Amino acid sequence: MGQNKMEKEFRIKLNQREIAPTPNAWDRLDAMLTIAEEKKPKRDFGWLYIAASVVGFLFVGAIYLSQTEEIVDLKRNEVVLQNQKHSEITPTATKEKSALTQDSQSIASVSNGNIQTTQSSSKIKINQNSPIHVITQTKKEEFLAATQTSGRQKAAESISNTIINQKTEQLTTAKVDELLANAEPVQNSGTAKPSVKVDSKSLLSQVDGELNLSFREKMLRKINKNYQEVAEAVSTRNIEQ
Amino acid sequence: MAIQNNRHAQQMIYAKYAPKMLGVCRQYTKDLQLAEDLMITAFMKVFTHLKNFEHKGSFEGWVRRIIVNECISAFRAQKKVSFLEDEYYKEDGFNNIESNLSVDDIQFLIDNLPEGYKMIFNLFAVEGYKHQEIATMLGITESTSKSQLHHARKMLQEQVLKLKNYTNGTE
Repeated sequence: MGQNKMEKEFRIKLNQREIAPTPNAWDRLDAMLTIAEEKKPKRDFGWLYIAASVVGFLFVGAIYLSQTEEIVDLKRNEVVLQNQKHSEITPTATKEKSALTQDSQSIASVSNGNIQTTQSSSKIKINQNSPIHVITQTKKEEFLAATQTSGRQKAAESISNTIINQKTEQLTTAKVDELLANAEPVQNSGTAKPSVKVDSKSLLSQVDGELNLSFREKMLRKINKNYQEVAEAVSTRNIEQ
Repeated sequence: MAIQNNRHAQQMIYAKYAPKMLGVCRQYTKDLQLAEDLMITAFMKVFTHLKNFEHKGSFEGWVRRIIVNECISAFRAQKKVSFLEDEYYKEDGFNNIESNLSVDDIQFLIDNLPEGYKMIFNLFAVEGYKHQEIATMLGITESTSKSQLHHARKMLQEQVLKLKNYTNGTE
């Protein structure tokens, strides 16, 4: 179905035709173009709002991250402080341990020579085991250590006196009784009035620190306690023998 | 420059192509004011989509396609055009006559066609679209486009003969 002559004629004539638009046609088009151009910046503002919101989220995120880093740093500082506390505690503990071992050694050495002195030392150890359940285990140990050191020093002095007396004089049962009578008041006086002043703040800080003890430290404390019990049992066995 | 919304450049383009494009719009409607409105709306699209012109064909052809599409979509939106699903058409059933009519007389004959006939006749005979393209543009079948063109041709031929006889004084 092609074009016939008439249609070709129509086509040529219509395509050549020109109709002049009215003079205000361009003004109308100009106004429409201006409105369209004014609408375009709104799109840019939309992107600007999106960009601003993204920047805002990033800013809030950065603040949040910085806060979390500070928290981590605080935790680290706490850990360092705890370690410092432990390091502060451990020397005192070692000193106590060394004092206890010295005492046990002296007691063991004396026990071979004199039964009475070992008895007195066993009494002291009984005092060690006397429960102070109100305070924590560590507090009790420290308190006992403080009392032990004063009592043991005096006991050791009395023991040394007895050793000197052993060398110079022949022991008799009567003298043994006298020695016992002399040693017991000394012990009582030592336990009754502890010369060491207990710093409550340091004890509380130590207790607070030990509440957060690690498993390793707890195990070490248990082993130390068991070792002391075994040593005590061995010493009492030697005495019984 | 016109792409960058230079108003002077846009006005030059408008001044060059507006008269021809108003003539195209006039083919589709008798109302000259409506034709001008359609032309202005189409020129708005021309200037806003000027960056999409790919320089593959002539600029005038590109502007003309926008004008025609604007006319079609406007009339279809107003539902002024209806196409009868008539599949009757006859190949080469017309005499190859020349009307020798003026462009105003031709426009007068086209204006008297029904809207459906007029649109398909304009698209096929004046704009040079194929039936397949017209069917796609208007959302009709190809055979409907052919039958509508057949009826339009028949009516136009009758009108041309009547007009010739009237001018010759035989009627």
